[in-house]
Amino acid sequence: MISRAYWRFLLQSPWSTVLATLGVALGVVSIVSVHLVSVQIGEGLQQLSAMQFSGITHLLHREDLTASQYFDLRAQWRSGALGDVGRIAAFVDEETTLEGKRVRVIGVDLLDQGWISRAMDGAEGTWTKDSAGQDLPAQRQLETFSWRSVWVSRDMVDFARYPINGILNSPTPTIVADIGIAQEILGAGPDHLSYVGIEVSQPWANARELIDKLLPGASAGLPEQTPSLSGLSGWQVSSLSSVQPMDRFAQSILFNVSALATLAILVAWFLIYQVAVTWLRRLRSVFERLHTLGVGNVAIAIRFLVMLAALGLVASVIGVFAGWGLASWLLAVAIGEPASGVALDGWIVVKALGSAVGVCVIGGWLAYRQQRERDSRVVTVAVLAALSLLCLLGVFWSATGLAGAFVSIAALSFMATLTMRPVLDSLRTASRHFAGHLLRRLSARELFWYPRDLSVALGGLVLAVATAMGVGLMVDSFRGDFAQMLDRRLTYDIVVDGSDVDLRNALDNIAATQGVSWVQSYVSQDERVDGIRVQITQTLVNEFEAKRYGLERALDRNEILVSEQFAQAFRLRGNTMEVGAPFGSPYGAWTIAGIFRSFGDTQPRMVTSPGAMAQDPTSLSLLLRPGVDLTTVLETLRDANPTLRFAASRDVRTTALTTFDRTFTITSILITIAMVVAGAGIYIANQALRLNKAASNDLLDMLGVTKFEVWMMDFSRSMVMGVTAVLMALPLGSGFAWILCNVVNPRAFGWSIDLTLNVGAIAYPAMWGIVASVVAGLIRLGVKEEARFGDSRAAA
Amino acid sequence: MLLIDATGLEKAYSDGANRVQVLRGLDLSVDASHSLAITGPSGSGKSTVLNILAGVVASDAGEISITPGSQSFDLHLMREKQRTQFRRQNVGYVFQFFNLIPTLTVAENVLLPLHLNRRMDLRDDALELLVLFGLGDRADSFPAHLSGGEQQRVAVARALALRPPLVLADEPTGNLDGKNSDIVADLLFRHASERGATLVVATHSESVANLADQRVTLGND
Repeated sequence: MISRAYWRFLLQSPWSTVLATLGVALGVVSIVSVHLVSVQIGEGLQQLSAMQFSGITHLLHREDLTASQYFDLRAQWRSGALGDVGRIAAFVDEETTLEGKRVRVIGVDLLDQGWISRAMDGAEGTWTKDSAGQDLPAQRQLETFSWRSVWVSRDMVDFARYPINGILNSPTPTIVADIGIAQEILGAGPDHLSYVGIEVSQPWANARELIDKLLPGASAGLPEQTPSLSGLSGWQVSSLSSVQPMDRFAQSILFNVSALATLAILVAWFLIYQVAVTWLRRLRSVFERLHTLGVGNVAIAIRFLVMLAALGLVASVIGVFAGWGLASWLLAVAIGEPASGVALDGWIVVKALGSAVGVCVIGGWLAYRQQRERDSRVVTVAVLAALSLLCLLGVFWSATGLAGAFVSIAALSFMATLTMRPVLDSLRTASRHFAGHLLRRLSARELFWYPRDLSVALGGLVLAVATAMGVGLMVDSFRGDFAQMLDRRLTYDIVVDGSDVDLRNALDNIAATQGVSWVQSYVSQDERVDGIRVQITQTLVNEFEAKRYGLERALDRNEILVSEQFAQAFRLRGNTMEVGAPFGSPYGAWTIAGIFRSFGDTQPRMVTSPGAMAQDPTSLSLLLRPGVDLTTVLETLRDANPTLRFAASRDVRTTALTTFDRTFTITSILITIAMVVAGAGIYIANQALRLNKAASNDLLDMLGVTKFEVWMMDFSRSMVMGVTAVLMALPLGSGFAWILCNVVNPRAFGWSIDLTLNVGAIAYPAMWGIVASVVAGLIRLGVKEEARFGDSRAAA
Repeated sequence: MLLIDATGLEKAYSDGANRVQVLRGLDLSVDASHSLAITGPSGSGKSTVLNILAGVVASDAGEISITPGSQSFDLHLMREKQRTQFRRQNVGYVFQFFNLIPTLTVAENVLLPLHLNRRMDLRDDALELLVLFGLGDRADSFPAHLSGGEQQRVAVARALALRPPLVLADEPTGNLDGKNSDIVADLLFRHASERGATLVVATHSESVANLADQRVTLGND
């Protein structure tokens, strides 16, 4: 019967029940949609990852690595001298030109356990496809498997020199073969190896996997176990993530988005807390009577929490299906093609239920506890101190990585919500001295008079607005820097792409085309420099070319230009760098003439004057004579050179910026969801304020205060609430923006962003925060519901 | 001269399927500057009469005229907006549970009707009431720091601040102990009379009812 009373209470409070359910459901929508998007993106990434590294955690290399050095190392490993190393395998990994294309040739030990198991099980699927792209059944794999066969990327399907075992998913021309076959293809001797891969057991491997399931991409932010180097003298050790920047890049994106998705569920937690506070006020008399009748406080509390948990359960079901729909739409928007087969898995259910029910139960428990106990100032101060320390560590201790950066953002958020109460208490004191019409003073004071009822909901709104401001500032700054980079980089009129052979053959014709005044030739290829994969571009770096990278003069022969990612990967200190042959400087060491921004690049880049590398161009840039019609020249070039791709720089710029804007669509949607949830929290807080004002309302009615005056009071109060939230969000949002630009982006992607204060990025969220507050304060959805629980007048 | 002249007042309330007839053809008349006590058991309609006189609710039937001066107000013919305006300018109300606004100081609570009617010329007079009621040194305090008796005295001061022609009090001593009841009742009747206000009090208390010039008893039949 007692439980029946609780359920009836929910039915008698339809609006607050619906709002609370929808608010939590929206939080679940965020979590579920991001999880599904991450899974889809992750599957795509898995297919793009170099699968020869499956299981490998670190790479070892040394100059002029030979097979005998590898076998010596292997003997050390077998004797147990290499400690944590669980697996060791040799690799050949070089680039060469085959059939006019730059091709990456990877040689693996086919006897290595990882390869054999995958060949037998077809577990990695992506490379056991036939030329039509269909999965090869396991039995067929065994029949077609040959030691002399190769696996090729789709654009190398016509490679006829060796039989083909299967097709790889790779963005660039790639061949994977047995080490010996790879050495044959490369024309290298049987002793030639590129590096050794090792698998170092990660003590937290299972935990990392679990963390990735709960928060996709989170493992990108965690520090990795490095092997002990005592048995590895003479070898240089690199973690796989530093060598496979694409993986880390994508994981970082997922982590960023996942972290943002938690914002909505965090704000939903505040909403539920606010709902619980209001409901506890309404149920106070019921609880007192039950207690008087002999029902224990624990039993009363448990029933209350069960009621909230049931609400969470309903919210999780709604959230799962709505999140599924949103994920499909997001994938279409962000990736630009219909999302097929976005499937729900067990983890969705776990995350949806866990977040929804957890938020409801924890929020309800905290509200119940707060009603009965006073806050301890000592505890609050201690928690604030601990959070401050966490924040500082995360920001200034770079070893904490991306995870540390997000921990500092989380710490800042919690600090902000903890300071709500003291700030509202101060405003309460200050409100005694507010000037103006008495009704305005009254409405403002009513806002700050009950900080316990308001602080959490206000905290949710502050957090949502601050995140919108912070992300908005970061995106605006990023866009500004990105556009500036594009403006610098796209100073030529036309860019030309194609195979090395076609470009070489067309070079003279292109230079002779009417209207073309200058042809800049680039030779770009991926090479390993000191074990790290680098894109090296050789070109004549005169003053015009140097300006593209931010240098105001031509490059000297012993100078190079490097990207920010390069500087970070090689931990550059000072402005010189020793690099081994064949990329080393003939002058002893390269001088770093400048570090340029290279947004979007997943690997380090180096620009140098033409040297000893292959001379066939990999791309061209064309300058046109002044006054020449670009469209006409483009048509002429395309007609004369059908195998090459010509693009106007202005079109490249437009496409790049459109892609940039589309990339942040997901971000905007997640923040909007959080703002809606925060608005619901403010509405519930207003319900609590109205409860407090029930007796005052009777008096004001009796004094003849008109409906319009009451409306104006509600409007004033809502405006003050919104403005208060915005003012508190400003420093928090600026802090978020600073961390995003100066800590998260460098740690996640290797580039930096100059934070610029853009009024629009601040004003837009501020406006929406105030609008949300005003709308939540003015709409009265549950008039009967409030009257049922808050009306003090009774018919005599 | 009659201030209040009401005839044939009827009022019923609905609670879902149930309809409760609270007033059946009540006649009421009170002279200006006089006091009337309305007594009767719980549910007899005492508060309903006050609400009708204040214009908070309209009667279902009957006529009611209130003539505070040269102008007469026929409440039974007035719309809600008009009744609200009438109440704002002509009625002071004392609640059983004080109904002070907790976020306003004692002085601000008393001056609230003056602010609403832009009659700050009566400010000194209103604050003088606080002194007369023994609360001069509590003007800057908030209601939470006052005892029940003190709060009700503030409520009485607020009801009288605008010098309204009509003062209504719903169980003004219902929430007070014996001593405070006597103090509040005395202040209410004495100062309403001194200010020439017509006072209508709904009460269970015989001692309060005995202070009035007239008495009407409502029954449950």
